[in-house]
Parts: sequence; structure tokens; C-alpha cells
Amino acid sequence: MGRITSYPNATTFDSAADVIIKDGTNGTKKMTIDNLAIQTAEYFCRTSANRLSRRMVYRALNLGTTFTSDQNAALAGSNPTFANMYVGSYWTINGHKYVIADFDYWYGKYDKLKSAENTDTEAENVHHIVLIPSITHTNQKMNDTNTTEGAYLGSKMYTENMDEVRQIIEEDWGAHIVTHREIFSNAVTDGVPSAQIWTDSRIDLMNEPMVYGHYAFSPFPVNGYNYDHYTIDRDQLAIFKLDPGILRTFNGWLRDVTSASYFAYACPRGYAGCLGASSANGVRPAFAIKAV
Amino acid sequence: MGEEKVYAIRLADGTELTNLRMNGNNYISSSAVTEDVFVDNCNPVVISDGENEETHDHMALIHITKYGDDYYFALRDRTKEELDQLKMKADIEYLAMMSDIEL
Repeated sequence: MGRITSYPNATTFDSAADVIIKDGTNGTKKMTIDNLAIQTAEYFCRTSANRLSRRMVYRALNLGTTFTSDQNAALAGSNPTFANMYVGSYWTINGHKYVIADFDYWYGKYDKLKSAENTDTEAENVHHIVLIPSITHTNQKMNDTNTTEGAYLGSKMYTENMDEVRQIIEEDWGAHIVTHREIFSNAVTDGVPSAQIWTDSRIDLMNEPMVYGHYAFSPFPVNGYNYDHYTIDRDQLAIFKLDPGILRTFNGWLRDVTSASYFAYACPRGYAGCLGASSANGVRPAFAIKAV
Repeated sequence: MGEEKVYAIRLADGTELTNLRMNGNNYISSSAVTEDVFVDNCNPVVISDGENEETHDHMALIHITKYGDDYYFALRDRTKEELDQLKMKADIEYLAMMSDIEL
């Protein structure tokens, strides 16, 4: 056999059956191009220092029907690796499919206000993965009438109508769910959120920036306020950047007040919208999981 | 975490709401707070955080909501547009009264 450098040059891979040669401590072996691509991404992201590169790699990998001890270990500690997990990877737990939407989204974001409610800011310090359900489990109203009075925190969706979805997710993920602090609006004046408080959040509706990367129907702050815009959820979740097509089938309420009677809504045909609070539409919250 | 501030609010008629905590822009009272306390009673409002006092003219109550055992309420400054409208309404009512016109 001649030296590898004496073989003809190739500039492309021609089929999935193509292989390259890997040489090392376990001997000389061949590797398919598919495995090469996967292993290259995993190898780059494998270190704790590079783990957040996973936010920019979409891989619809089936992670199984249980959250395994190896997966738990990959999230554990102060320097997790998130091994073999990518945006778009998913678990199907008790028949419910959950897709990885982002990594460490709430890490380092915290309730800086020194209030009595400022207690445990778990997600500030705990590495986590953000998940969203892949489908809408239920359709619900934001309120019984077309009013946004009380904003998201005062809505029937928050206080009652999300209970079914929250219960499903709590049963599927239990102690893995991260409690983090959120600042939610709790009053509306002339169609604009006018008050807000910090509160614990485990499973809640997303806002427009998390989905679109910007506000769409939520009013631009007038006279110095739209308290929906005081938020730690200011960034787009990675999955909506890497897979904008996910919105084609999204059909879900977002928590932003858009007027005295409408809340924001991500429409199933992929456009940003808003609807009267009394219409029944999809409930697709976001939540985070951690190692236990 | 630093020590939590305790706020006090003095309304126009001298009514004082004391031992208030704050979350976001909501004041939290462990005692019952009702809307009628604020009606025509928010010009001025003096807010103290125990160290500094701020005087706000023409405030308005945003809401009072009970969470658990506590009462959460928020106030806001009226906008210039609102104040202009209030003045215009008062002027019209005065002119109507002086002209003996029923509005």
C-alpha cells in the first residue's frame, strides 16, 4: 500500500457510504461521512468551554423515551458538557414529544430587585436546557371575555387554563424542572401593560422576543412604559432562529398584551398575529430542565 | 442581597400607607387597601423609601390585586395628554356652568 498522500485528491463526498480513515490508539479504522459530520460537531462541542456551540447546531436527534442517567450527568455540575444534545433534539416522555429549544437561556439572568419575593433564583446558577412541547396539548382561552385586564399574570390562562398542560409537563419531568424568576405584567392601562412583579416561573407561555426575536404586536412603549417589555426573556430561543419553519405549525398563545382586548399569538401558518383573549388557541409553554 | 426597603405613601388628604414592600412597580401591603382611598386623592402623592422622599403630582391608581394575604397596588404619573384633557374637561364644565348650559 502506498502512502495516503499518494492517493488521488477528492473534493466532495459522493454518497453516505463514503468513508475516511481514522487512525489512533484503537488502531486504524474507517468512518462513514455521516458519522464524521456528527462526531466533528460533537467533538468541537464536547468540552464545557465550547458547550454553548450546541445553541448554533440543529440536530433532530431522538434522545429516547426517558431522561437517562448519562443525560443527567451531561447536565450536572458547574461545567456540564450537554453531550449529544442539540437544538432540535427531542425526547418522547409518556408519549409527549419535547424539543430542545435552547441551552442556559436563563443562566445568569436574575431578579435584581431586592424584594421579599426575591428568594431562589435557581436558573441563575443552574445549567439547564429549555424545552418546548412539539405539539399543542390543548386549546385554551386567555380570558373568558375579550379583555387583557390583569395582563398575563392576571389572566385566566395563567391562573387556571394552563393547569392541564402544567400537570402533563410536571408529571413528565418532575424534579428536573427548573424554577426561575420572571417579571410578568399584572395590570393594563389603555391597552398597555402598566405594572409588573417578579414571580417564580416553572412552566409559562413564551413572549414575542423568545419566538420572533423582536416584538411584533406588543405596543411600543409610550410615555415611558409597556411593562411587558421589562423582561429577562429578551432573546430569541435558538430553535426559532435555526428552524423558523417550526412556526408553520405552532398555533400558540404568547403572553404579551397587544391591546385592551388582544394577546399576541403565533399563527399556524407562520405569521405573527394577535387574537381576542376569549378565543381558544394552543398552549405551548417553555420550561427548563436540570440535572438532579 | 441588601436589606429590603420599606416604603410609605402619603396621599393628598394626609392618609398614610405604611410598611409597604415593593416588587417590580407594585407596592405590597399586608393590610387591606381599597380603591376609594385613592379617588381624588393622588395630587400630590409623597413616596418615601425610608431614605428619600419623592413628590408626584397628578398620579393615578393602576390596580389593586390581592395575591395570597397581601394587597398589591401600583400607581402611575398621569401623562401630559391626560392632564391636558382633564383641564379641558374642567374648563368646558366651568364654561357650561357659567353659561347655564347643561352638558
